[in-house]
Amino acid sequence: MNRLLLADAPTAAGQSAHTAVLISFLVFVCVTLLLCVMVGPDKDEVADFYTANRTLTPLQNGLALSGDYISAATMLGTTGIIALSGFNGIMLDVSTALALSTLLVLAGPLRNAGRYTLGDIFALRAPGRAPRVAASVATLAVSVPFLVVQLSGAGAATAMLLGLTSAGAQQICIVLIGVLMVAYTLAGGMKGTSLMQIAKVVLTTVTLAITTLCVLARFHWSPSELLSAAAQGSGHPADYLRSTSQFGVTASGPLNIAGLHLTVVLGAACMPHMIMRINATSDGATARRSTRYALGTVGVYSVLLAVLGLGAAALVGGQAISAVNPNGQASLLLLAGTLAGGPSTTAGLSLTTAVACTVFVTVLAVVAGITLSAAASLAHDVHAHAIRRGRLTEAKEVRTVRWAALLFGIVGILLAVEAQGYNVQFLSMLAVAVAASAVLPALVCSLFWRGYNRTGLLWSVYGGAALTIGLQLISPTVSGGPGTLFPTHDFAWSPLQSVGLVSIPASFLLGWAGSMRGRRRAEAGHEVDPIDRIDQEAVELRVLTGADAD
Amino acid sequence: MHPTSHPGEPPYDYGDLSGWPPSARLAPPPRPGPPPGPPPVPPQATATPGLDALRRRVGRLDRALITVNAASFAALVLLAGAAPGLLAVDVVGQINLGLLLCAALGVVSLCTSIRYDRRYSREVDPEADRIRTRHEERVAATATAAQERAAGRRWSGW
Repeated sequence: MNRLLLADAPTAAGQSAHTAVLISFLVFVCVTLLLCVMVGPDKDEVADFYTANRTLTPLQNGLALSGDYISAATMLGTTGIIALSGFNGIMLDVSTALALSTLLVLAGPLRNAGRYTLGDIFALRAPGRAPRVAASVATLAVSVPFLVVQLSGAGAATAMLLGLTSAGAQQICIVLIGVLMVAYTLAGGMKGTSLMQIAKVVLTTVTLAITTLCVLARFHWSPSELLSAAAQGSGHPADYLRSTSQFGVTASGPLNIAGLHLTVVLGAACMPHMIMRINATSDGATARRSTRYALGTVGVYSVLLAVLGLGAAALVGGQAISAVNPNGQASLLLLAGTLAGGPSTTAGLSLTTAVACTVFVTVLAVVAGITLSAAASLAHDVHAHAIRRGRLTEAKEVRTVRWAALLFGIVGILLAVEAQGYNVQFLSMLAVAVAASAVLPALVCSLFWRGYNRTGLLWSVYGGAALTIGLQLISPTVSGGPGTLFPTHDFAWSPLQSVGLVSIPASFLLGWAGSMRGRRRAEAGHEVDPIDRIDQEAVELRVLTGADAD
Repeated sequence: MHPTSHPGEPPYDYGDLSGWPPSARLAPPPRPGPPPGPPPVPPQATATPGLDALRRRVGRLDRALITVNAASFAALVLLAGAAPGLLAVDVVGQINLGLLLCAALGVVSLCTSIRYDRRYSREVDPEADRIRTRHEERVAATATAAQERAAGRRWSGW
């Protein structure tokens, strides 16, 4: 990628680009680490570490929420898919923005009912240890694949931006980014990661807006001219701007493509780190307002990414983009290398450095958020509630969450290093599908259905997660073709590429069937579900008004 | 005592319904396992005045937002799958119907979200605040009555 990025530049210019990028990275890392240490929690208080004592304003929280939402996979992946697939990519871009509407409906009740983690919401209608463990399992089932795909892609991109191409250099970059991720989480907690997210959103929006203006200026501010050039550059002008039945290696056929959009709309905003961010707002109304601000920010972002994807197809060309990465993840960086005179001019060098920094900061901020939510789940749901049954002091829980962040970081780094050389892009969609299948049904039923009980919750969480992971493993996105994880093996026994089409309705169905079974067993005298000991009126009062919430 | 318990009734243990107790950093010891036999009689839930109306109002707002967005989204996805030729019809220069509908879906989503939040703030939040305040007052009154009863028992021992 770097060779292509600097293809037109003399060697000296290429070296100066690497130096500028390296200096920018180091300055950014030092400044953000310093800020994290300064604003981080100074006392061992759980509320401070998990939610920054809910002191963030709606606008700050909205910006941080949009920062959590826009991951490196979203930024690079969406631009790439638009550059390579045209109309299909733009539809995915719209679906990504639309997913925040799902969160908007849930935001107020989630904040009213929740406290810190997913387990606190599950405990609403299903108290006890098993639902806490289920919450943690769901959190890890979403967070681990999402972290691995982010770290893996970030390591490769960072190494290339620094002019390093060997596999060892990529692995070192992964380890360094992973260490920084853990350091930010340990030092900053929710306040530190929020500050990083806000800085990231401002920096990213400004940089991408300037890059977009450069693209539009190149095409005389004419969208038609840009679209025409993008269609020509893509290599398949006849169907670039129309809906086709092939979506890279991710989905083929109308049913799979529809399933992909459905999964994104329902799952992208229900990831555990997003839920934790909602719990950092002061009340339900603030949570709703923050989500609305995030929707606006992500909407602007989606427009910018669409223009940049089209610009990459027009100026770089589909063939050159595919040559670097079949998923098109390099398109944004390749595009930056062709604008403003390229890296051989001061303006071009500045733009390239800024875009590289944007990618770097996006990765760091998002992985820190994921680490925080996973560590919080391990410490709060598993250790404090499932193992110690609530008998854990705040200081000890904060200590546990720090160890959990370290453990989660090490596991994530090791997996990402091991994944080098494999195509792990499907993990991003897997994480979204697990969120849509295991987290969303349990959240919706916990918040809005009086009949939901422990058996129903366990069935929907474990059933949804197992079904999603199982179906994904035997789908054509994992084996049996080029661009998959195991291209030389073929165990794609299921033709379904978008597993959410089956797993999401199945998880809702399992929740209903489990609840019915739990109720019958309770009525028959087997003490399985303590549903009869739950004051449903009190739960509803809390969900709707926030009464007795923190 | 749970807020919805009647004065005079024994407090009821709801497990970790609300996560950690806000005032206590050390939770009470674990409850012993339930005795075999039929499940315990559920506590009498106190009907909260206005909660049903609030639930209906919230449901109405949620349904409106979900219906508009889901219908628009489903229509676009169906058209993309079933009638790609229709979406490929150029409308303005190279801008075709599909791209215009994508933009329209984004605008619809943004507008309905703004409207949803504003209507929620106007129609639901004030009523939710009233119900929560009444509930908190009732909890405070119950706690005061319990303290007074406890004080009365202490003096009656003399």
